[in-house]
Parts: sequence; structure tokens; C-alpha cells
Amino acid sequence: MKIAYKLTLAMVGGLALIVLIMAAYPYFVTTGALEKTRESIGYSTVMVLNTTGLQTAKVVAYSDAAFISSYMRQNGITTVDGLVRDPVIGRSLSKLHYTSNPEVVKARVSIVIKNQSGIYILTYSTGTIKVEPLASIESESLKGLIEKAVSSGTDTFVSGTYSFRNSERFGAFYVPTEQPLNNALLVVWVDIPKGSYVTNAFGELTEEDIIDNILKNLDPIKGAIATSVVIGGLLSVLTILVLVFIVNREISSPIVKLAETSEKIADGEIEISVPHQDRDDEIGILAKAIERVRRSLEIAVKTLEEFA
Amino acid sequence: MVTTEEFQRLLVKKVGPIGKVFLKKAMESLEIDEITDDNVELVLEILKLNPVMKKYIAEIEEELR
Repeated sequence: MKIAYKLTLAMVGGLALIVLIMAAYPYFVTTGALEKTRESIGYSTVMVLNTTGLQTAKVVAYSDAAFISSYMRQNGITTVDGLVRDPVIGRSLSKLHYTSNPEVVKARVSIVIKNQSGIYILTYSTGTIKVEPLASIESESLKGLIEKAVSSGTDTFVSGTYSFRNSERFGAFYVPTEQPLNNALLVVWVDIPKGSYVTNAFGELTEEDIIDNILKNLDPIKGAIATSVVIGGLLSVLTILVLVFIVNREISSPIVKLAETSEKIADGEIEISVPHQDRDDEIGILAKAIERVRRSLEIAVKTLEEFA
Repeated sequence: MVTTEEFQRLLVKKVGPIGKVFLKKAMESLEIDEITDDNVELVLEILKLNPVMKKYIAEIEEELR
């Protein structure tokens, strides 16, 4: 049973190693790729926290889990009333419904900007909050608002009504920066009509835009899967080689040696030394049995020689 | 306490099946039917008369101690 135990241990160990690497490697690489995907469209991710009876809502764009935890701690936020789904990662929840009583809910919006140089933040008449790079601005009326913001200085909230993609919106906040903003926390008050929803901030992005963005970042995932298959294959070969080595060293080689010894005994070399008698497994049992037969033969033959 | 079965098992373990043949002959020559603590030394002495078997009997004596 000892040999079977060794072989089982080697096989299980080898297979576990293969499974671990084949599963863990793509997991880490895929997670990295997904994070990268989220970075690339991170500006459009919105997380909504802590709407209260005081008619305020804190909205944090770019829902980095560590940041959210720290933000909640720093701001004494203990409850989360609603979360907006991150469509790429698929973390979290649903739309947020404001149930406070006034006609218009005043919401305090806190937005963290990561690696964006020149962005604008829009609040739609529906309550949707959208953060986009400056480069994608198409609306002439919005450009007008932004020019107004720029001329009035940085970090200035500028409000007004404008038309954007055939839909009337209100509110614009422009952050002109020469250097990319990283982890900058911007706070702005916006009006959100009673009963409106804060939806995920993909807003005007079409499904096609989103799919393109995701597909663009699938290459590392494909690469990770291919690499894991190659590594898994190599590990399988390595495991087989190790198993062959163990089988050869522990079983085949001793059996060949014992077979040669038995043949020599049968040929009359009755004083030959039988190897592997010290082993504590099936090979040892076989070796000891051959040694007993050898001794019997030795005694019989020599006794007969004496009396012949 | 030594018994015939135990002694025979030990003998076969050390020298193989031929041990049974030699044990039978030794017991016949000593005119005994059973091996006991009293006669085991005599049996061993008889078996040691075979010069080839002598070296293996030493191993049995070692175990019996």
C-alpha cells in the first residue's frame, strides 16, 4: 500500500498544482483586465450613497471599493440607500428613488475624478448624472456654458439650460485642468426633481460604445486564457515526467533488479545478495521472500553437496 | 513461551521452506513431539549441526532472546 500511497500523493499533488495555476492565473489576469476596462470607462460609473430625510444625496463617481469605504468612514456614512450598477464589473445594485417630500430634492454630489484632464459633469433633467471627457462635447449650447465657466475661473459651478442631443438638460460643471486630475474630490449641489431616478451614468453612451469598450479590453483576458492553457499543458507534461520518474525509481527499477537477482539464483548463484530487503513496502516484502527461497536453496544445495 | 508453531514460523521466516524439513528431522532425532522452553535450546543445537544453516540459526537465537 505504501507505493500506491506515494503514487496517489504525487498524482493528486500534481493535478492540484495544475488546477490551481490554470484557475488562479486567469483569475488574476482577468481581474486586472476588467479593472483596466473599468478604468477606461470609469468616469461613467456612478455610485449613490446615503440619501437621507434631509433631502441630500451623496453621489460618488468612479466606484472604487476602497475609496468608497474610506469616503463613507470619513463622512460618517453608515447606510447605503441605493447603488447604481457598474455595467462592466456588475457590482451592485439598482436605481435610487428619491422619496423626500419637496418638489425638488437638493442633492449634494461628490465626485472623484481619476486621470481625466478637462471634464464636465452634467445633471440631466431626469436626475441622471454624467461625467464625460471634454473631448466628447458636441453640443454648441453646452460649449457656450463651458466657455462661460472657463471665463469665470476654475472650479466654478455654472448652471443653465442647454440642449444636448435633442434633449433639454440643465446644469453643467466644468473642471478645466492642465494636469490630469487624480483622486480629486469635487462637490457640487444639483437639483433633482422629486421622484426621479439616478441611473447608471452611461447615459448617452450607446450599447455599441459600451460593447466596443469592453471588447477592446478582452485581449488581455484572451491572452490570459491562452497562457493558462499553455502553462497548464506544460505543467501536465512536467507532472507526467515526475510520475514516470517516481514510478521508475520506486517500482520499475527495484523490480528489474529483483528479477535479475532471481534469475541469478535460478542459475545457481545461491550466495548472491538480494537487494531492497530493508524497504518497508511491497518491494521489501518481495525481496524478503526471494531471500528466504535463496536461503532454502543454499542450505539444500550445500547439504546435498556434502552428502553427494 | 515457545511453541512448535511459533518456532516453525520463525525458522521458515529465516531460512525458507527447507526449515520445516530440518525441524522435523531434528525433532525425530530428539524424540520429541512439541517444542517447549525446556527443549528449544537442544533443537537449536541440532539444527546448528548443519554448517550452512548455522549462520541463520544465530538470527533465530537473537529473536528468541
